[in-house]
Amino acid sequence: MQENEEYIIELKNISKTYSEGVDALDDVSFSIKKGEFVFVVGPSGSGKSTLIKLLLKEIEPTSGVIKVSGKDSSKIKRRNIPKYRRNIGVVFQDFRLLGDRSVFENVALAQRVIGVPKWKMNRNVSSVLSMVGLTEKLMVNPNELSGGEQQRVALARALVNRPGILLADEPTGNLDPKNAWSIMELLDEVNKLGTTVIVVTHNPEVVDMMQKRVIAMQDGKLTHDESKGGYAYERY
Amino acid sequence: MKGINVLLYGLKQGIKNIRQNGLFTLASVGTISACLFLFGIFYFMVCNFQYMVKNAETSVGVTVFFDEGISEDTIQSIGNSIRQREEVLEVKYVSAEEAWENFKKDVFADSEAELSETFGTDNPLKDSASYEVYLNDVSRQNGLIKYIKKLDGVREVKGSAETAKGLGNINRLVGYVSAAIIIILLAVSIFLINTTVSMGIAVRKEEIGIMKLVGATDSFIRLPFIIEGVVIGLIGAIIPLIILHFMYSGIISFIADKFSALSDILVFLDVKDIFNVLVPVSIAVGVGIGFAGSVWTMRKHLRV
Repeated sequence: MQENEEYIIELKNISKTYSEGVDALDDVSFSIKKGEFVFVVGPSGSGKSTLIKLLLKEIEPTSGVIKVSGKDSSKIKRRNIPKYRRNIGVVFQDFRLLGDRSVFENVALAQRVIGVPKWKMNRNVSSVLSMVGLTEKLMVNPNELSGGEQQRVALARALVNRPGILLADEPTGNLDPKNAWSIMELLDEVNKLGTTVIVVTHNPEVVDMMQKRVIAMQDGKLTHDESKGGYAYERY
Repeated sequence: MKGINVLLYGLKQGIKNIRQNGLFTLASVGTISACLFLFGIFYFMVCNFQYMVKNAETSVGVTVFFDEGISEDTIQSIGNSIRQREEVLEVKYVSAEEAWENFKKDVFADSEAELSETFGTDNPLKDSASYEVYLNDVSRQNGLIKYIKKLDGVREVKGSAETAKGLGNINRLVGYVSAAIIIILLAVSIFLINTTVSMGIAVRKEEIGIMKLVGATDSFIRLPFIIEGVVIGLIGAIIPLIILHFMYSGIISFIADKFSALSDILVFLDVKDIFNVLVPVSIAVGVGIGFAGSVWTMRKHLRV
Protein backbone atom coordinates (compact mmCIF):
# COMPACT_ATOMS: atom_id res chain seq x y z
CA MET A 1 0.00 0.00 0.00
CA GLN A 2 1.49 3.29 -0.98
CA GLU A 3 1.39 6.15 1.51
CA ASN A 4 -0.25 9.16 0.01
CA GLU A 5 -1.68 12.40 1.32
CA GLU A 6 -4.81 12.00 -0.78
CA TYR A 7 -5.80 8.91 1.23
CA ILE A 8 -8.08 9.83 4.10
CA ILE A 9 -8.14 6.28 5.49
CA GLU A 10 -5.32 3.75 5.25
CA LEU A 11 -5.41 0.28 6.80
CA LYS A 12 -2.18 -1.70 6.67
CA ASN A 13 -2.15 -5.39 7.69
CA ILE A 14 -4.88 -4.94 10.29
CA SER A 15 -5.72 -7.96 12.43
CA LYS A 16 -8.04 -8.03 15.40
CA THR A 17 -8.44 -10.90 17.83
CA TYR A 18 -10.90 -10.37 20.69
CA SER A 19 -10.04 -11.47 24.22
CA GLU A 20 -12.30 -14.53 23.83
CA GLY A 21 -10.00 -15.69 21.05
CA VAL A 22 -12.30 -14.72 18.17
CA ASP A 23 -10.38 -13.59 15.08
CA ALA A 24 -12.51 -10.76 13.68
CA LEU A 25 -10.05 -9.34 11.14
CA ASP A 26 -7.10 -11.06 9.54
CA ASP A 27 -4.43 -9.03 7.79
CA VAL A 28 -6.77 -6.52 6.14
CA SER A 29 -5.25 -3.72 4.06
CA PHE A 30 -6.95 -1.07 1.94
CA SER A 31 -6.96 2.68 1.43
CA ILE A 32 -9.77 5.13 0.80
CA LYS A 33 -9.22 8.40 -0.99
CA LYS A 34 -10.55 11.71 0.22
CA GLY A 35 -14.03 12.24 -1.22
CA GLU A 36 -14.55 8.59 -2.18
CA PHE A 37 -17.83 6.67 -1.77
CA VAL A 38 -17.19 3.08 -0.65
CA PHE A 39 -19.47 0.16 0.16
CA VAL A 40 -18.20 -2.47 2.58
CA VAL A 41 -20.22 -5.64 2.07
CA GLY A 42 -20.13 -9.11 3.51
CA PRO A 43 -22.16 -11.59 5.56
CA SER A 44 -22.62 -11.41 9.35
CA GLY A 45 -19.38 -12.14 11.16
CA SER A 46 -17.25 -11.03 8.23
CA GLY A 47 -15.64 -8.26 10.32
CA LYS A 48 -17.57 -5.20 9.06
CA SER A 49 -18.63 -4.03 12.51
CA THR A 50 -15.12 -4.54 13.89
CA LEU A 51 -13.89 -2.34 11.08
CA ILE A 52 -16.25 0.46 12.10
CA LYS A 53 -15.25 0.13 15.77
CA LEU A 54 -11.59 0.35 14.81
CA LEU A 55 -12.17 3.46 12.73
CA LEU A 56 -14.06 5.06 15.64
CA LYS A 57 -11.26 4.05 18.01
CA GLU A 58 -13.68 2.16 20.22
CA ILE A 59 -11.22 -0.75 20.04
CA GLU A 60 -7.56 -1.09 19.08
CA PRO A 61 -6.19 -3.49 16.43
CA THR A 62 -4.14 -6.48 17.61
CA SER A 63 -1.62 -5.68 14.88
CA GLY A 64 -1.25 -3.37 11.90
CA VAL A 65 -1.52 0.37 11.34
CA ILE A 66 -4.61 2.54 10.79
CA LYS A 67 -4.05 6.03 9.46
CA VAL A 68 -6.84 8.57 9.34
CA SER A 69 -6.10 11.86 7.57
CA GLY A 70 -2.45 10.81 7.51
CA LYS A 71 -2.19 10.29 11.29
CA ASP A 72 -1.43 6.93 12.89
CA SER A 73 -4.52 6.37 15.06
CA SER A 74 -2.57 4.29 17.61
CA LYS A 75 -0.59 7.44 18.46
CA ILE A 76 -3.71 9.40 19.41
CA LYS A 77 -3.79 9.85 23.20
CA ARG A 78 -6.92 8.84 25.08
CA ARG A 79 -7.79 12.44 25.93
CA ASN A 80 -7.65 13.37 22.23
CA ILE A 81 -10.05 10.63 21.07
CA PRO A 82 -13.15 12.93 21.30
CA LYS A 83 -11.44 15.45 19.00
CA TYR A 84 -10.54 12.62 16.59
CA ARG A 85 -14.17 11.40 16.53
CA ARG A 86 -15.46 14.86 15.64
CA ASN A 87 -14.10 14.32 12.15
CA ILE A 88 -16.12 11.11 11.72
CA GLY A 89 -19.91 11.19 11.47
CA VAL A 90 -21.72 7.91 12.19
CA VAL A 91 -25.16 6.61 11.23
CA PHE A 92 -26.54 3.31 12.55
CA GLN A 93 -29.23 0.88 11.43
CA ASP A 94 -31.25 1.52 14.64
CA PHE A 95 -30.92 5.34 14.27
CA ARG A 96 -29.94 5.81 17.96
CA LEU A 97 -32.07 8.92 18.49
CA LEU A 98 -33.13 10.22 21.89
CA GLY A 99 -36.87 9.75 22.28
CA ASP A 100 -37.19 12.31 25.07
CA ARG A 101 -36.25 15.31 22.93
CA SER A 102 -37.18 16.92 19.66
CA VAL A 103 -35.61 16.43 16.24
CA PHE A 104 -33.86 19.77 16.68
CA GLU A 105 -32.43 18.77 20.07
CA ASN A 106 -31.21 15.41 18.74
CA VAL A 107 -29.24 17.11 16.00
CA ALA A 108 -28.13 19.98 18.26
CA LEU A 109 -26.59 17.49 20.71
CA ALA A 110 -23.66 16.97 18.34
CA GLN A 111 -23.05 20.73 18.34
CA ARG A 112 -23.50 21.12 22.08
CA VAL A 113 -20.82 18.57 22.92
CA ILE A 114 -18.27 20.65 21.06
CA GLY A 115 -19.48 23.89 22.65
CA VAL A 116 -20.83 25.66 19.55
CA PRO A 117 -22.49 29.02 20.49
CA LYS A 118 -26.27 28.94 20.45
CA TRP A 119 -26.77 31.31 17.51
CA LYS A 120 -24.34 29.33 15.38
CA MET A 121 -25.84 26.04 16.50
CA ASN A 122 -29.36 27.17 15.54
CA ARG A 123 -28.12 28.16 12.10
CA ASN A 124 -26.16 24.92 11.54
CA VAL A 125 -28.95 22.63 12.76
CA SER A 126 -31.57 24.39 10.63
CA SER A 127 -29.30 24.22 7.61
CA VAL A 128 -28.56 20.49 7.93
CA LEU A 129 -32.23 19.66 8.65
CA SER A 130 -33.16 21.57 5.51
CA MET A 131 -30.63 19.50 3.59
CA VAL A 132 -32.24 16.23 4.72
CA GLY A 133 -35.73 17.64 4.08
CA LEU A 134 -36.97 17.85 7.67
CA THR A 135 -37.37 21.61 8.15
CA GLU A 136 -41.05 21.17 8.91
CA LYS A 137 -40.39 18.62 11.67
CA LEU A 138 -37.97 20.56 13.85
CA MET A 139 -39.94 20.28 17.06
CA VAL A 140 -41.42 16.84 16.46
CA ASN A 141 -40.42 13.93 18.67
CA PRO A 142 -38.45 11.29 16.68
CA ASN A 143 -40.87 8.57 17.82
CA GLU A 144 -43.57 10.28 15.75
CA LEU A 145 -41.50 10.02 12.55
CA SER A 146 -41.31 7.21 9.97
CA GLY A 147 -38.19 5.02 9.82
CA GLY A 148 -36.90 6.91 6.80
CA GLU A 149 -37.38 10.24 8.55
CA GLN A 150 -35.67 8.98 11.67
CA GLN A 151 -32.67 7.91 9.61
CA ARG A 152 -32.60 11.39 8.06
CA VAL A 153 -32.45 12.89 11.56
CA ALA A 154 -29.58 10.53 12.42
CA LEU A 155 -27.85 11.56 9.20
CA ALA A 156 -28.36 15.24 10.03
CA ARG A 157 -26.81 14.66 13.47
CA ALA A 158 -23.83 12.89 11.87
CA LEU A 159 -23.31 15.73 9.39
CA VAL A 160 -23.96 18.84 11.48
CA ASN A 161 -20.34 19.06 12.68
CA ARG A 162 -19.18 18.83 9.04
CA PRO A 163 -17.04 15.70 9.41
CA GLY A 164 -14.55 14.70 6.73
CA ILE A 165 -15.70 11.08 6.91
CA LEU A 166 -19.20 9.62 7.21
CA LEU A 167 -19.57 6.01 8.40
CA ALA A 168 -22.99 4.47 7.80
CA ASP A 169 -23.51 1.06 9.42
CA GLU A 170 -26.45 -0.67 7.67
CA PRO A 171 -28.25 2.69 7.18
CA THR A 172 -31.06 1.09 5.15
CA GLY A 173 -31.40 -2.06 7.26
CA ASN A 174 -34.68 -0.97 8.87
CA LEU A 175 -36.16 0.83 5.87
CA ASP A 176 -38.48 -0.08 3.00
CA PRO A 177 -36.99 0.11 -0.54
CA LYS A 178 -38.36 3.60 -1.23
CA ASN A 179 -36.94 5.08 1.97
CA ALA A 180 -33.72 3.09 1.54
CA TRP A 181 -33.18 4.58 -1.86
CA SER A 182 -33.98 8.06 -0.59
CA ILE A 183 -31.30 7.70 2.12
CA MET A 184 -28.78 6.47 -0.44
CA GLU A 185 -29.51 9.51 -2.60
CA LEU A 186 -28.84 11.72 0.39
CA LEU A 187 -25.56 9.93 1.10
CA ASP A 188 -24.58 10.41 -2.52
CA GLU A 189 -25.40 14.12 -2.24
CA VAL A 190 -23.28 14.39 0.92
CA ASN A 191 -20.45 12.65 -0.91
CA LYS A 192 -20.70 15.07 -3.80
CA LEU A 193 -20.25 17.91 -1.33
CA GLY A 194 -16.81 16.46 -0.49
CA THR A 195 -17.40 14.10 2.44
CA THR A 196 -15.83 10.65 2.24
CA VAL A 197 -18.67 8.16 2.69
CA ILE A 198 -18.26 4.55 3.82
CA VAL A 199 -21.43 2.47 3.85
CA VAL A 200 -21.49 -0.95 5.49
CA THR A 201 -24.49 -2.80 4.11
CA HIS A 202 -26.29 -6.06 3.40
CA ASN A 203 -28.58 -4.45 0.85
CA PRO A 204 -27.67 -5.78 -2.64
CA GLU A 205 -30.13 -3.51 -4.46
CA VAL A 206 -28.58 -0.24 -3.32
CA VAL A 207 -25.04 -1.47 -3.93
CA ASP A 208 -25.92 -2.64 -7.42
CA MET A 209 -27.75 0.57 -8.28
CA MET A 210 -25.13 2.99 -6.94
CA GLN A 211 -22.21 1.42 -8.83
CA LYS A 212 -19.56 2.72 -6.42
CA ARG A 213 -16.40 1.15 -5.07
CA VAL A 214 -17.13 -2.10 -3.23
CA ILE A 215 -14.91 -3.77 -0.61
CA ALA A 216 -16.11 -7.31 0.13
CA MET A 217 -15.20 -9.16 3.31
CA GLN A 218 -15.61 -12.70 4.49
CA ASP A 219 -14.38 -14.41 7.69
CA GLY A 220 -12.35 -11.36 8.63
CA LYS A 221 -10.51 -11.23 5.30
CA LEU A 222 -10.79 -8.74 2.46
CA THR A 223 -11.93 -10.86 -0.44
CA HIS A 224 -12.53 -8.27 -3.18
CA ASP A 225 -11.97 -4.58 -3.77
CA GLU A 226 -13.49 -3.22 -7.01
CA SER A 227 -13.58 0.43 -7.97
CA LYS A 228 -17.09 0.18 -9.48
CA GLY A 229 -19.16 -2.82 -8.78
CA GLY A 230 -22.21 -4.55 -7.35
CA TYR A 231 -23.03 -6.80 -4.42
CA ALA A 232 -22.15 -9.93 -6.44
CA TYR A 233 -18.89 -10.30 -4.51
CA GLU A 234 -20.66 -12.15 -1.73
CA ARG A 235 -20.88 -15.25 -3.90
CA TYR A 236 -17.09 -15.54 -4.27
CA MET B 1 -18.11 31.50 25.86
CA LYS B 2 -17.58 27.85 24.96
CA GLY B 3 -16.99 27.01 28.63
CA ILE B 4 -20.15 28.87 29.69
CA ASN B 5 -22.24 27.03 27.06
CA VAL B 6 -20.90 23.69 28.26
CA LEU B 7 -21.51 24.62 31.90
CA LEU B 8 -25.07 25.75 31.18
CA TYR B 9 -25.76 22.54 29.29
CA GLY B 10 -24.30 20.48 32.16
CA LEU B 11 -26.44 22.40 34.65
CA LYS B 12 -29.59 21.89 32.59
CA GLN B 13 -28.93 18.17 32.15
CA GLY B 14 -27.95 17.75 35.80
CA ILE B 15 -31.24 19.28 36.93
CA LYS B 16 -33.06 17.15 34.36
CA ASN B 17 -31.38 14.04 35.87
CA ILE B 18 -32.57 15.09 39.31
CA ARG B 19 -36.15 15.40 38.06
CA GLN B 20 -36.03 12.15 36.08
CA ASN B 21 -34.69 10.13 39.03
CA GLY B 22 -37.33 11.64 41.32
CA LEU B 23 -37.56 8.89 43.93
CA PHE B 24 -33.85 8.20 44.15
CA THR B 25 -33.16 11.91 44.32
CA LEU B 26 -35.65 12.23 47.17
CA ALA B 27 -34.03 9.29 48.97
CA SER B 28 -30.58 10.83 48.59
CA VAL B 29 -31.70 14.30 49.64
CA GLY B 30 -33.56 12.71 52.57
CA THR B 31 -30.53 10.77 53.74
CA ILE B 32 -28.15 13.68 53.45
CA SER B 33 -30.70 15.86 55.23
CA ALA B 34 -31.04 13.26 58.00
CA CYS B 35 -27.27 12.96 58.23
CA LEU B 36 -26.71 16.70 58.42
CA PHE B 37 -29.67 17.12 60.76
CA LEU B 38 -28.08 14.64 63.18
CA PHE B 39 -24.74 16.30 62.57
CA GLY B 40 -26.38 19.60 63.56
CA ILE B 41 -27.92 18.04 66.68
CA PHE B 42 -24.57 16.60 67.74
CA TYR B 43 -22.92 19.88 66.94
CA PHE B 44 -25.43 21.68 69.22
CA MET B 45 -24.77 19.11 71.94
CA VAL B 46 -20.99 19.17 71.65
CA CYS B 47 -20.74 22.95 71.38
CA ASN B 48 -23.17 23.66 74.17
CA PHE B 49 -21.72 20.95 76.38
CA GLN B 50 -18.25 22.33 75.81
CA TYR B 51 -19.58 25.79 76.50
CA MET B 52 -21.21 24.65 79.74
CA VAL B 53 -18.09 22.71 80.68
CA LYS B 54 -16.02 25.81 80.01
CA ASN B 55 -18.32 27.78 82.25
CA ALA B 56 -18.11 25.07 84.89
CA GLU B 57 -14.37 24.88 84.47
CA THR B 58 -14.00 28.55 85.23
CA SER B 59 -15.78 27.97 88.52
CA VAL B 60 -13.45 25.07 89.37
CA GLY B 61 -10.55 26.76 91.07
CA VAL B 62 -7.21 26.12 92.71
CA THR B 63 -6.67 27.65 96.17
CA VAL B 64 -3.19 28.81 97.11
CA PHE B 65 -2.29 29.32 100.81
CA PHE B 66 0.81 31.17 101.96
CA ASP B 67 3.50 30.60 104.58
CA GLU B 68 2.86 32.24 107.99
CA GLY B 69 4.08 35.79 108.32
CA ILE B 70 4.61 36.24 104.58
CA SER B 71 5.05 39.82 103.37
CA GLU B 72 2.55 41.61 101.15
CA ASP B 73 5.26 41.96 98.47
CA THR B 74 5.82 38.21 98.35
CA ILE B 75 2.06 37.58 98.06
CA GLN B 76 1.98 40.08 95.22
CA SER B 77 4.92 38.39 93.53
CA ILE B 78 3.24 34.93 93.82
CA GLY B 79 0.09 36.42 92.26
CA ASN B 80 2.08 37.86 89.36
CA SER B 81 3.85 34.54 88.72
CA ILE B 82 0.50 32.72 88.58
CA ARG B 83 -1.10 35.32 86.31
CA GLN B 84 1.68 34.87 83.75
CA ARG B 85 0.59 31.27 83.07
CA GLU B 86 -1.51 30.98 79.87
CA GLU B 87 -3.96 28.42 81.36
CA VAL B 88 -4.89 30.92 84.10
CA LEU B 89 -8.11 32.79 83.47
CA GLU B 90 -8.39 34.77 86.69
CA VAL B 91 -6.54 35.15 90.00
CA LYS B 92 -8.57 36.44 92.91
CA TYR B 93 -7.04 37.43 96.27
CA VAL B 94 -9.09 36.38 99.31
CA SER B 95 -7.86 38.09 102.48
CA ALA B 96 -8.02 36.37 105.91
CA GLU B 97 -10.97 38.60 106.83
CA GLU B 98 -12.91 37.70 103.70
CA ALA B 99 -12.16 34.02 104.28
CA TRP B 100 -13.52 34.25 107.81
CA GLU B 101 -16.61 36.16 106.68
CA ASN B 102 -17.31 33.50 104.01
CA PHE B 103 -16.83 30.73 106.54
CA LYS B 104 -19.18 32.38 109.01
CA LYS B 105 -21.82 32.74 106.31
CA ASP B 106 -21.49 29.10 105.23
CA VAL B 107 -21.27 27.42 108.65
CA PHE B 108 -22.80 29.70 111.27
CA ALA B 109 -25.47 31.44 109.22
CA ASP B 110 -28.23 30.62 111.75
CA SER B 111 -26.28 30.69 115.02
CA GLU B 112 -24.62 34.06 115.42
CA ALA B 113 -24.75 33.72 119.25
CA GLU B 114 -22.86 30.45 119.30
CA LEU B 115 -20.28 31.95 116.99
CA SER B 116 -19.52 35.00 119.13
CA GLU B 117 -19.47 32.84 122.26
CA THR B 118 -16.85 30.54 120.78
CA PHE B 119 -14.57 32.92 118.88
CA GLY B 120 -15.46 36.37 120.18
CA THR B 121 -13.78 38.87 117.86
CA ASP B 122 -10.84 36.58 117.00
CA ASN B 123 -10.26 35.48 113.43
CA PRO B 124 -9.23 31.81 113.60
CA LEU B 125 -8.43 31.99 109.88
CA LYS B 126 -5.96 34.85 110.29
CA ASP B 127 -3.28 32.90 108.41
CA SER B 128 -5.70 31.75 105.73
CA ALA B 129 -5.35 34.50 103.15
CA SER B 130 -5.27 32.86 99.77
CA TYR B 131 -5.43 33.19 96.03
CA GLU B 132 -8.33 31.57 94.21
CA VAL B 133 -7.05 30.69 90.77
CA TYR B 134 -9.49 29.94 87.92
CA LEU B 135 -8.37 28.13 84.78
CA ASN B 136 -9.49 28.38 81.17
CA ASP B 137 -8.67 24.67 80.71
CA VAL B 138 -9.30 22.37 83.65
CA SER B 139 -7.23 19.56 82.16
CA ARG B 140 -4.10 21.62 82.83
CA GLN B 141 -4.81 21.93 86.55
CA ASN B 142 -2.18 19.41 87.73
CA GLY B 143 0.61 21.15 85.86
CA LEU B 144 -0.39 24.48 87.37
CA ILE B 145 -0.50 23.03 90.90
CA LYS B 146 3.03 21.62 90.48
CA TYR B 147 4.22 25.02 89.29
CA ILE B 148 2.61 26.96 92.14
CA LYS B 149 3.93 24.53 94.78
CA LYS B 150 7.48 25.38 93.72
CA LEU B 151 6.97 29.11 94.27
CA ASP B 152 8.59 30.63 97.40
CA GLY B 153 6.13 31.49 100.15
CA VAL B 154 3.48 28.94 99.13
CA ARG B 155 2.40 26.68 102.00
CA GLU B 156 -0.31 24.64 100.38
CA VAL B 157 -2.16 24.33 97.07
CA LYS B 158 -5.61 22.76 96.96
CA GLY B 159 -7.00 21.68 93.62
CA SER B 160 -10.12 19.90 92.55
CA ALA B 161 -8.54 17.15 90.51
CA GLU B 162 -11.53 14.80 90.37
CA THR B 163 -13.89 17.46 89.07
CA ALA B 164 -11.34 18.47 86.48
CA LYS B 165 -10.76 14.90 85.38
CA GLY B 166 -14.50 14.09 85.25
CA LEU B 167 -15.39 17.09 83.11
CA GLY B 168 -12.52 16.42 80.73
CA ASN B 169 -13.55 12.77 80.31
CA ILE B 170 -17.21 13.54 79.58
CA ASN B 171 -16.16 16.16 77.05
CA ARG B 172 -13.90 13.68 75.25
CA LEU B 173 -16.54 10.92 75.30
CA VAL B 174 -19.21 13.13 73.72
CA GLY B 175 -16.69 14.17 71.07
CA TYR B 176 -15.72 10.58 70.18
CA VAL B 177 -19.31 9.27 70.06
CA SER B 178 -20.40 12.19 67.87
CA ALA B 179 -17.48 11.72 65.50
CA ALA B 180 -18.19 7.98 65.14
CA ILE B 181 -21.91 8.48 64.42
CA ILE B 182 -21.24 11.29 61.96
CA ILE B 183 -18.66 9.22 60.06
CA ILE B 184 -21.14 6.32 59.72
CA LEU B 185 -23.87 8.67 58.48
CA LEU B 186 -21.55 10.29 55.97
CA ALA B 187 -20.63 6.86 54.58
CA VAL B 188 -24.34 6.00 54.20
CA SER B 189 -24.94 9.28 52.37
CA ILE B 190 -22.11 8.68 49.91
CA PHE B 191 -23.48 5.20 49.26
CA LEU B 192 -26.93 6.61 48.49
CA ILE B 193 -25.55 9.30 46.18
CA ASN B 194 -23.70 6.51 44.42
CA THR B 195 -26.98 4.65 43.88
CA THR B 196 -28.75 7.77 42.59
CA VAL B 197 -25.99 8.70 40.16
CA SER B 198 -25.71 5.05 39.02
CA MET B 199 -29.42 5.17 38.19
CA GLY B 200 -28.87 8.40 36.26
CA ILE B 201 -26.05 6.80 34.30
CA ALA B 202 -28.19 3.73 33.54
CA VAL B 203 -31.11 5.90 32.38
CA ARG B 204 -28.83 7.99 30.17
CA LYS B 205 -26.68 5.13 28.89
CA GLU B 206 -27.92 5.57 25.32
CA GLU B 207 -27.38 9.32 25.37
CA ILE B 208 -23.87 8.86 26.80
CA GLY B 209 -23.08 6.41 23.98
CA ILE B 210 -24.28 8.91 21.37
CA MET B 211 -22.35 11.74 22.98
CA LYS B 212 -19.17 9.66 22.89
CA LEU B 213 -19.70 8.97 19.17
CA VAL B 214 -20.16 12.62 18.29
CA GLY B 215 -16.96 13.55 20.11
CA ALA B 216 -17.98 14.58 23.61
CA THR B 217 -15.08 14.84 26.05
CA ASP B 218 -15.01 12.91 29.34
CA SER B 219 -15.60 16.08 31.33
CA PHE B 220 -18.58 17.08 29.16
CA ILE B 221 -20.23 13.69 29.78
CA ARG B 222 -19.41 13.73 33.49
CA LEU B 223 -20.42 17.32 34.21
CA PRO B 224 -24.22 16.73 34.50
CA PHE B 225 -23.66 13.88 36.96
CA ILE B 226 -21.31 15.96 39.10
CA ILE B 227 -23.83 18.80 39.06
CA GLU B 228 -26.56 16.32 40.02
CA GLY B 229 -24.54 15.12 43.03
CA VAL B 230 -23.61 18.62 44.12
CA VAL B 231 -27.19 19.94 43.84
CA ILE B 232 -28.50 16.94 45.84
CA GLY B 233 -25.84 17.64 48.48
CA LEU B 234 -26.70 21.33 48.56
CA ILE B 235 -30.45 20.77 48.94
CA GLY B 236 -29.69 18.06 51.50
CA ALA B 237 -27.73 20.65 53.51
CA ILE B 238 -30.17 23.57 53.25
CA ILE B 239 -33.25 21.63 54.45
CA PRO B 240 -31.81 20.54 57.84
CA LEU B 241 -30.20 23.95 58.37
CA ILE B 242 -33.62 25.63 58.13
CA ILE B 243 -35.21 23.06 60.46
CA LEU B 244 -32.31 23.22 62.92
CA HIS B 245 -32.42 27.00 63.00
CA PHE B 246 -36.06 27.08 64.06
CA MET B 247 -35.58 24.13 66.41
CA TYR B 248 -32.55 25.57 68.20
CA SER B 249 -34.10 29.02 68.65
CA GLY B 250 -37.27 27.35 69.94
CA ILE B 251 -35.44 25.11 72.43
CA ILE B 252 -33.35 27.97 73.82
CA SER B 253 -36.43 30.16 74.33
CA PHE B 254 -38.37 27.26 75.83
CA ILE B 255 -35.64 26.38 78.34
CA ALA B 256 -35.08 30.01 79.20
CA ASP B 257 -38.82 30.40 79.92
CA LYS B 258 -39.54 27.13 81.69
CA PHE B 259 -36.26 26.45 83.50
CA SER B 260 -35.17 29.92 84.50
CA ALA B 261 -34.04 28.52 87.87
CA LEU B 262 -31.33 26.54 86.10
CA SER B 263 -30.09 29.50 84.10
CA ASP B 264 -26.70 29.37 85.85
CA ILE B 265 -26.07 25.80 84.74
CA LEU B 266 -27.90 25.65 81.39
CA VAL B 267 -26.00 28.34 79.55
CA PHE B 268 -26.53 28.00 75.79
CA LEU B 269 -24.54 29.43 72.93
CA ASP B 270 -26.24 32.13 70.92
CA VAL B 271 -28.05 31.07 67.68
CA LYS B 272 -25.69 33.27 65.68
CA ASP B 273 -22.57 31.70 67.23
CA ILE B 274 -23.81 28.21 66.38
CA PHE B 275 -24.96 28.93 62.80
CA ASN B 276 -21.93 31.03 61.88
CA VAL B 277 -20.05 27.74 61.90
CA LEU B 278 -22.82 25.24 61.18
CA VAL B 279 -24.01 26.85 57.91
CA PRO B 280 -20.68 26.82 56.03
CA VAL B 281 -19.68 23.44 57.50
CA SER B 282 -23.01 21.77 56.60
CA ILE B 283 -23.01 23.22 53.08
CA ALA B 284 -19.39 22.18 52.56
CA VAL B 285 -20.12 18.67 53.88
CA GLY B 286 -23.33 18.34 51.77
CA VAL B 287 -21.68 19.56 48.58
CA GLY B 288 -18.59 17.49 49.38
CA ILE B 289 -20.66 14.31 49.85
CA GLY B 290 -22.49 14.99 46.57
CA PHE B 291 -19.28 15.64 44.69
CA ALA B 292 -17.39 12.68 46.19
CA GLY B 293 -20.36 10.34 45.67
CA SER B 294 -20.81 11.24 42.01
CA VAL B 295 -17.08 11.17 41.18
CA TRP B 296 -16.74 7.78 42.89
CA THR B 297 -19.74 6.42 40.92
CA MET B 298 -18.42 7.66 37.60
CA ARG B 299 -15.04 6.06 38.20
CA LYS B 300 -16.89 2.81 38.78
CA HIS B 301 -19.56 2.92 36.06
CA LEU B 302 -18.67 5.55 33.50
CA ARG B 303 -15.49 4.73 31.69
CA VAL B 304 -15.77 7.33 28.95
